[in-house]
Amino acid sequence: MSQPPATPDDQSARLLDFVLTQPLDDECVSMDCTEDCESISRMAERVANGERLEDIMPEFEQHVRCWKDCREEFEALVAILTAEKQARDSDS
Amino acid sequence: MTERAHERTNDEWLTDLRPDSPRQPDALADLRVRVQRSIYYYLSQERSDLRDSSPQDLQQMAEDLAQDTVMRVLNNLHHFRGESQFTTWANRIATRIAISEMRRARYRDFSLDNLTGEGETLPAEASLISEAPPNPERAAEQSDTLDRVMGLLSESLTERQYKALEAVALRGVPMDVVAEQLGTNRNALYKLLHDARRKLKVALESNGLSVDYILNLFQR
Repeated sequence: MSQPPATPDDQSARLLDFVLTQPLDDECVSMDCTEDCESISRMAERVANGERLEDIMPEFEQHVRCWKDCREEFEALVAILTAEKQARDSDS
Repeated sequence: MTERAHERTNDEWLTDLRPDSPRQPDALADLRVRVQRSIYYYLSQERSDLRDSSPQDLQQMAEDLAQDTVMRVLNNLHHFRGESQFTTWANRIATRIAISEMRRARYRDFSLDNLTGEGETLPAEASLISEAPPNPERAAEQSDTLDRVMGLLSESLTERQYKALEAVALRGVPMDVVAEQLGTNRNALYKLLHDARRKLKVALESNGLSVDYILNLFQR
């Protein structure tokens, strides 16, 4: 989701957060978020059906917490699937 | 989200979308309708930055992006393994395309070459993270620490690592945009940034700046 321009305070906080507090786990970092659309699709389906991402695949939850671009894409897919599910539920 | 297209199983989608299938035109039309509806929903309901766009403009955007999505899906049919619903996989591709397009449009004037690396993005006062303003001594210590962090950033990282870290972490530039300008892809950029963060952490520790000390200083 787009945000207003970051202030210097925002930027510095983001830098420290990124460098110091985000995971340095190799498996998390090397997850292929751009190519493996199908696994991500399956996870999004499960989240849209009410499961928690941290229960399904904690390393991916950590990955999307670390990388906002991946998080934005995952949340977009979950939002679409949730809306589709609600439409189906209201039809039935 | 209404007007659902004809429901197919995954196998039916794969069969119907084959070039030699007599049902391909219908399947293509159904797929286009389906992803266009998803994209329109996303643009109109989930994007606060597009709230001033007219429904017609959003429909046109959704139509163009759906066209790109259908082409991408057709070119990647052989990759689909059936782990998820076919339409979810198509929607995943659609959201990737839509979000990437909007990022590129938003950052079309951005250039990594224009990053100065001089740390001008840091404030003179370093009351950055804590809720309450720090006392003068603490503010001075924070400011000094930030200066040292920025100094180590430029000393210990390669120019490529520095630019990538500055763009992504400091300025919030999307990774696709940065990767494109670095002539790489997002996964390679993950690795580049990962290595940069690891190097910077080592440099901080060897200069007496432990992570715990910094986090405590900024009251995280």
